Amino acid sequence: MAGSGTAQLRPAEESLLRVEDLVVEFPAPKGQKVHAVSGVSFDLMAGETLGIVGESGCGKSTTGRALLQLPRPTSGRVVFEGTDLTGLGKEALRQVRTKLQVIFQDPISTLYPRRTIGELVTEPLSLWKIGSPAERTERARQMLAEVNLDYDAVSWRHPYEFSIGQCQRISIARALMLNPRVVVCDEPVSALDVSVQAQILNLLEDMKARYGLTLIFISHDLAVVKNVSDRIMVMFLGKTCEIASADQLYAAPAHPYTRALLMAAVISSKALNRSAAAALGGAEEEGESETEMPSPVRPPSGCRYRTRCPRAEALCAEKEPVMRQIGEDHYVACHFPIGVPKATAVAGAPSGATS
Amino acid sequence: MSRRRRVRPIHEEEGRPLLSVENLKTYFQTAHGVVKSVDGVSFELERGKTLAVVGESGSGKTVLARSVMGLLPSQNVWREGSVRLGDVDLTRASAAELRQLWGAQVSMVFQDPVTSLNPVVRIGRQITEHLQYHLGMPRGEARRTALSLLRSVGIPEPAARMRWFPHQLSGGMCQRVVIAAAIACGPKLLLADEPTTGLDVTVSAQILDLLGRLQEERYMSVVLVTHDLGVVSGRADEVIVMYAGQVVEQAPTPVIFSDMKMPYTEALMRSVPRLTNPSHTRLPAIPGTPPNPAALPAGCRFAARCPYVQPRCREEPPPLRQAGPRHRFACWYPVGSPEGQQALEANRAAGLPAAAAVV
Repeated sequence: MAGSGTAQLRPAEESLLRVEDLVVEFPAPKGQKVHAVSGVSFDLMAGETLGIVGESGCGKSTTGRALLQLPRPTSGRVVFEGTDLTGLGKEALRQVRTKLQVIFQDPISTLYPRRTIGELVTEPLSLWKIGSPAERTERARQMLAEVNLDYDAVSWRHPYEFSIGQCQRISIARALMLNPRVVVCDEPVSALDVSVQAQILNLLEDMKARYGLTLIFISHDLAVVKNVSDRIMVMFLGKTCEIASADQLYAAPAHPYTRALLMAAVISSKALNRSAAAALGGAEEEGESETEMPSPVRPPSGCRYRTRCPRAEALCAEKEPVMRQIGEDHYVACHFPIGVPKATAVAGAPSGATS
Repeated sequence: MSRRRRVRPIHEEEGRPLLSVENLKTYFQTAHGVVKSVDGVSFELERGKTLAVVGESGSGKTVLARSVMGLLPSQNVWREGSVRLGDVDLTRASAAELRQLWGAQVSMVFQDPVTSLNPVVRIGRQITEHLQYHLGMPRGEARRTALSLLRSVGIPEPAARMRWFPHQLSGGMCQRVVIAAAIACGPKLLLADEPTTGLDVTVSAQILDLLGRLQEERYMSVVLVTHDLGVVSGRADEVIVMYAGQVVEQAPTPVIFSDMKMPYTEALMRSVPRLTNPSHTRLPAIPGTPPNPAALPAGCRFAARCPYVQPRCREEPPPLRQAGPRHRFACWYPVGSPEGQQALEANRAAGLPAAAAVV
């Protein structure tokens, strides 16, 4: 896996947000570099939800933040509504950020503890001097009602008085105050219980439909990502493994890493996913030998997944696989993808060569 | 270090479970009134079996585990009932006795592995400490035992890792170290409080497999506290579902998935996103929030959020009833019964939001 390439990108003029060859590196001791994100490309159509999955340390959060220019990527392009954000100055970027909002994992530390909920929710409007104080209050009342909170009951309270689920609702209301086009949701339900998680996921779906939002949904929980996403990108150690429509990815995972993740998710909840386990059947004998992440300071040569991959061969250490199409809206970066005949895989010859 | 053993021996009685908790209550005195975190919980656990405790945050499952262990704040807490581990009543044990039980006969694995290890003590020392204190092992032997423990929990290159500090390991590796330390002295009972929350799916599956394997090898009893029903299946022999401090249903694991009686159990199971459902499937979420633990309702505590609710539920708290061997539940209108079905249909006709969400 761990491939570069841009085969998965759709025509530039149709996409709302287009990320090309995004690279984020952080300095490490002794002049080394942490390769957090290495050449990731993807795009988003208006109204689409892109799910990004992977284990901790795979660079999924860094990708989400880098496209908001927090921090600025080392190289690559982030084109939003025709403008490349990486080239924008401070003030121009500030203007654009009103249309790009983010919801973080821990809602309690997201909300400044000494402000009241009323102040927190109207803050985006007062920063931009939009409307009179009365209008701002009115907008906050509307937005809080959308997330099932009553303005009069909550506006004078402080974040610590609310449960974690309620704080996440407040964060969502706050993120939507400026009518953003794209919302990056960075593990928004990871800290929540299943029952609250279901409420928040439904709320996000409602908000998306009502405000025509485009979402980037980052999570390590495959079932959650599938539930909200149209398209899903699987990441490993700063590289893209596979991009496909949500249902396609789960029905026929082509990348060995995608299947390893799915197997882990299915095994950890057998009774709930019995039919999914049957569909992936026979995968047990191809389990991963270890599950530690290789070091992002000195990533493996070739395919970065090869040290954990049960299908790895000599080629994987020499050559990095490039993104290629294997089905309708299904792209994979692997020399030996699952379900694709080997001869085709190696030579890239037209299918039908073997049978 | 002396060669003294500091372990309070436990004698198991023939035909009696290793752990029996009877009518355990744990109340906290707070500024908002008395919070009944654990309110009359009873259960039994045999040697070598796993009991899962499931519930939302605030349902009292963590307090239950800590109360069983005896790890409660020293003030503003009121505990009643009995916790018998073999022939010892943990609620009556003195601090000195508890010191010889904790780690030696009963251990706990906490939710956050990184903060449960001492950040300035090397990993090896955090395990040998228990062996030297409780078992009176000489240093060299303790080191060798720690090494084999680290190997058995799947830490690569254990000899080198012994000299590492916790911050040098990933979360999953830290949890393995915590488990190694917890089982070092061969406890009979292991309490695991959300041992995989915050870990990745691949890592969490491995940690749970590890716990299962160690349990079998060492014939331990395990109490597994979790909010994730998925974790429970295939890993626990029996499940307790808690809501607002009480047990609302208890059953062998296969029964809880196939024949649950309590509407809360059903609702909890429904709200889990499934891999098998197509994307954008609407989740049947449980409306509302759990009741305020300082002002609990008079009747059934789940009534306000229940799709089956009837006037009786709001007035009379349902007792735990027997539904089969080892299957108990607390509900007036259980799932799958004619009266339950009737109640659900009546609520749906009346347009109760909780009932409308159930398809």
